[in-house]
Amino acid sequence: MKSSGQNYPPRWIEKILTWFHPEETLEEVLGDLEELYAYWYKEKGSFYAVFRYVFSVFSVLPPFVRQRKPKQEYSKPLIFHPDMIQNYFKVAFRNLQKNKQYSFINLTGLTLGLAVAITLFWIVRFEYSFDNYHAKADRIYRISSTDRFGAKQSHVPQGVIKALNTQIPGVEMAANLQGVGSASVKVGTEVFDQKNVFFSPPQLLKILDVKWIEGSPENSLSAVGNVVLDEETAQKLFHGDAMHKTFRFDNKIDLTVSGVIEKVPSNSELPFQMIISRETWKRLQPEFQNEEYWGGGDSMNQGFVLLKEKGSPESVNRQLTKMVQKYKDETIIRSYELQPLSKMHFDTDKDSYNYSMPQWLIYTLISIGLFLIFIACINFVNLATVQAIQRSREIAMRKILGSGKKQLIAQFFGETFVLVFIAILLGSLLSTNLIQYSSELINTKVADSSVWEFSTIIFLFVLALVVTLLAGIYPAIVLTGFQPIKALQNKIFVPIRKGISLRSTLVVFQFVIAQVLIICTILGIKQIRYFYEKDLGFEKSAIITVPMPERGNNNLRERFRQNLSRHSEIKDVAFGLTTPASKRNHWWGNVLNPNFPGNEESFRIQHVDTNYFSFFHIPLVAGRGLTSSDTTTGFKTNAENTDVLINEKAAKDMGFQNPEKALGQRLVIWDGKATVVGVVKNYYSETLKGNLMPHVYLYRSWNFQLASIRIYPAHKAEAIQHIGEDWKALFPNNYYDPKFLEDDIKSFYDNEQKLSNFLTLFAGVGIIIGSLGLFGLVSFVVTQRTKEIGVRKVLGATVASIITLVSRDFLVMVTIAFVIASPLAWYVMKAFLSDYTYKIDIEIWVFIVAGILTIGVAFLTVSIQSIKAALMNPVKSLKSE
Amino acid sequence: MKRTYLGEFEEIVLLMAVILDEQAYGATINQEIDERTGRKVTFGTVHNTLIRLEEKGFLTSRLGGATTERGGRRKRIFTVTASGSRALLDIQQLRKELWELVPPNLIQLSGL
Repeated sequence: MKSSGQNYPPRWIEKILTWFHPEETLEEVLGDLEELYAYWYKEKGSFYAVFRYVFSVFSVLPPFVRQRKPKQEYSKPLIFHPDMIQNYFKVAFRNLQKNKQYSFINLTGLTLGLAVAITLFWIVRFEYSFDNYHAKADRIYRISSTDRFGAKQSHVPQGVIKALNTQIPGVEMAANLQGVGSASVKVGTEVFDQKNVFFSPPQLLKILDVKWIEGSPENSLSAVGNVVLDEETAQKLFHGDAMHKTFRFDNKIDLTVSGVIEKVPSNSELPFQMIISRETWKRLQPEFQNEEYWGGGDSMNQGFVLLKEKGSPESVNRQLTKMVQKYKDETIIRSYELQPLSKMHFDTDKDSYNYSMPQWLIYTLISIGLFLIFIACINFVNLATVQAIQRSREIAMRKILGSGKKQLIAQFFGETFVLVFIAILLGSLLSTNLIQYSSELINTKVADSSVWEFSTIIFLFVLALVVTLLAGIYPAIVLTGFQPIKALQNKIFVPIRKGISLRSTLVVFQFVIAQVLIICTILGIKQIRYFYEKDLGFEKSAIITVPMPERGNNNLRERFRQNLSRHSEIKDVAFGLTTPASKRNHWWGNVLNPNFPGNEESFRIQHVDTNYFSFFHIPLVAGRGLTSSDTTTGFKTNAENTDVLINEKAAKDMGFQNPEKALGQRLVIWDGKATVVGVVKNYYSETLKGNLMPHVYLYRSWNFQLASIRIYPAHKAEAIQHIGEDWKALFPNNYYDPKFLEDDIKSFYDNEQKLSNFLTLFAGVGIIIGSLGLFGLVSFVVTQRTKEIGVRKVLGATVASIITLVSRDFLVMVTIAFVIASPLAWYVMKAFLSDYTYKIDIEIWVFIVAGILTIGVAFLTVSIQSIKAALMNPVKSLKSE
Repeated sequence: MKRTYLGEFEEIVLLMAVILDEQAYGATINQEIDERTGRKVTFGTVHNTLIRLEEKGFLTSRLGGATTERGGRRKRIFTVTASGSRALLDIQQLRKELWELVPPNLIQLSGL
């Protein structure tokens, strides 16, 4: 029969049968049908046979075919049967109770790791949620610009807004917003310090979502003197109903409350607490009245655009950049770019109304969080493998009693899940507390937002699943893979010293992470200390700064100086626009001189008193300082020719290596003429992250906004008290806000400081988790080798030799980790520090300290157990079992 | 007495399994039904019925040894169990009893 090829049914239909027919009966059915085919073929020929064959095949395909149930199946419950699940958990709880030490180690490690992970999740979610609550968020853009020196600028001149509103298609609305860092508000006789003050036209509040309790953009922000408060501020200033009440703003103008809004969510770059009408701003700053002007600007004066439904930001960019060519002489800005509102929070180039979060910081946090979870899971895996021996008999028993591999795996995952679940509960509790410190740990306001939202629950759920899988998969597979016979014969042997085991690899990996974190933390802290302690080129200690209201009104200023000089604990007073180093209130100006490349350069302009340089101990390198005769020369008057000072950098930019040569150079500053009469030594006027700036110093008494007061540090308290009394007597309508210059300079490095706080926490958690794991492993080894140790002792081994015996391997692992971690940390820190102009050297001792620290902690952990083992009475240990 | 029900086609298949004795498997039963009753049934019908009968406990099966025939595939030989024989006997007995109750004048057995 077989010889005739025609007796075979068509192969394709056989294939279909193979694919779809249930596996249990496939072989017999294929055979039966082949036999029947031959029978039909013999009976009625090929056509008939094929016809019946095809028909029969379809009759044994699903859904027609009846499944043959595998015989053994009836005895096995489903692995996810409710009873089984209950059983998994019951067994899991019993096991956790039985091995209290392991459970404790696992639980502590997981809890710490998860708590940090949850905290980080909240932070990251919060940072990414900035300003996406506005209904039109996808169409709102902030205008950013690049000046002709290639630097990013935030300020947006009036003319640009006007052009956007009237000439550029695709734009629905555009508006300026002016922020003010802090201002004095006087209600009745009480003076308050008010933060987050904004001057806004009605349009801006139509672009953004703000919840109005009373008033509306048109009614509340159209006229001079209109002010809108948020509920919190209304409460603060008026204890409740604030509508139509009046207060004095910065001792300059009276404002009447014309609207109240709900508190703006904390995840906004525009934290309105007090919104004053833009008309008021124009009244206060007349230079803002010219709507057509494309030049000038204040970096806190920024522009926002709402595009039409189908408007493209690229076309707006192109048109603005084209238009700016026309105003080349008015403005230093060369191109404009619309930045989506959601990106605004991550842009650190702008002057922020709230705070900015650099992307790299977020990525660093996420990766560290992931690493910590890893470290915690590694403990879990390691401790599970060491428990393998103890549990192998249990597992063998279960297998013999009929547990399938699936059920055992489910049971192990169940156990892991119970632990992870408890850890998540504890971790959530811990992170709820931790998040309260987040603003101190890292620059974020997440604690003000509600963290327990729906997405948190989802996150916890996903986290639980992922961690259960990560931590549980290896133990589940290894432990269930044992041959029951071998396990019952005690033949399972988990090697302690055999080449490079998975366990030692994991321990090494754990400590690599922990040590990299430690080294980075030490270096980070060192860099910040370097910032704090670096000689900036001027004397910054024991100086108190006080703002001078009304730009330092001449009479009041002199009276203040005289009053202060009466106190013995006050050394000296100097006035100026700012101190030599300040984060805010930089004045920039374009200075013309034929020696500059392109005739022109952007200078930092400082208005200084005659004693400013001696006060700050800034040496003169050429020429003379400003004298009392300079105080009377007019600037931009007919007689115009002001004597000014520059710094070395400016002299160098003019092409003079020898500062003497720069003396007598003519400069044009803001259309006023000036002559260089002196050159002062360079000092750092910005953060050390930046570069030296060219400076020009003018005597401008109308703009001395800050008093710097040097005191005798021994009499700090009296000095502060006297300054306060004198100041308040002169400026009763303003808020007194004294600061230490050193604190101000420290605040330049807030982001770094806070990151290093976080790193310290992470490194601490990392090393704790790692040590817990080591502790568990060592205690396991000790129980394993109790008898061996006993025999050794009987044979005369010393305590020291036994401690070495037990702890050597672990210390070797930690040392290997150190060897791997050092170059890794070196590489990471080198990349991190490359952003800084002034930075520390990465010195060897940092690595040595980190190494000694981790190895020391590891040694301590290990020795607790090994000493216990070494001191154990051999009579006892040999008698056991 | 509790009785397990046996469908008509099931009865035929079960009988065939008895008749074919050690040679009862899917293909032969299908052929036998074809030849002896003239019913052209699809293979699936037979296959499903065999499985069902086994589930009811009227048949047991074992896989035969591999042969070079039918592509070297093993066949599943079905054997009637005690309860299978009992069921067949019961149903035969029942029919007999029922036939005896039929009044002779109502069905003309030879009158067609």
